[in-house]
Amino acid sequence: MIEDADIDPAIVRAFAAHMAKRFNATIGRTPAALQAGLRLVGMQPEKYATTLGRAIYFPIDLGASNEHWSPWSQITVMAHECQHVADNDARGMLAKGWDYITSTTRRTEHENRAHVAQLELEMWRRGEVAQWWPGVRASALKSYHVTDTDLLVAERYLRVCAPIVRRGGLISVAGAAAIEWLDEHAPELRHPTVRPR
Amino acid sequence: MTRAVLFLAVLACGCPAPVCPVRATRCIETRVELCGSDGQWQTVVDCAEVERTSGGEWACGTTREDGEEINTCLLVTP
Repeated sequence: MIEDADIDPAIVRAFAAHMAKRFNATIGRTPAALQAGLRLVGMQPEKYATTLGRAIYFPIDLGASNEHWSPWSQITVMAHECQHVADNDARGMLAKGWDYITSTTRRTEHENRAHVAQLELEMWRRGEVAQWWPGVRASALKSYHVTDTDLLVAERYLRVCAPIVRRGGLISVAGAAAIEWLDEHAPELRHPTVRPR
Repeated sequence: MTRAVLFLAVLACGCPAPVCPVRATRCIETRVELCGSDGQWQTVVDCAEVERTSGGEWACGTTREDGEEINTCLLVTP
């Protein structure tokens, strides 16, 4: 099994390019103003990708790696951000943006939907969703200034989705698009117990 | 700035009354719903959509996950 850190950077770049095209999004480096904005709300810009409208920003050049970003994490986070773009399309960018800013409940819900894409990729890559995964993933929302109750709801949301994904179900459009591409172009990254789509 | 913050605070407080216990789950036809931190139901997943994208026959039902009973989509027929 190829380690997460040893994934060919060319696969990451090709995957990102495909997903950007599929979701009509653009990819770029996080601009300085956005980095400053993230710092202002207590987030470390080097650890986060950000989606504004159809623009997806990463703090590194895709394919490059550092202590925060393995090639595999870039793939999963790209799928996460594409789910945000799909949600923008489904719900309207302004409405979603307003919800995101004014309601911790809605912000949590938006992030949950994007985390489901990562859950699906976790299953595809590892052949399982560990019991700890939903709780750890949900706790990442602490940085998003949501309430402790929101964190518990986020964990429950992922625990509702986990049994579906374990049985081979797909829920998110970004996860489905990601797995379709990876099955065709990088099947060596798929866990041997997971059947191709 | 202060006015803007107050405006947002008023909007944030203009919420509907809670209708469900936070973190509860339920089945509504083919949909799985979860009670959010605002005490309102939100759809997590529609099992009919899972069926469409994943194949097999799926139905909303109950299972145990991490020691707790929850509603989710169950694979009825692979």
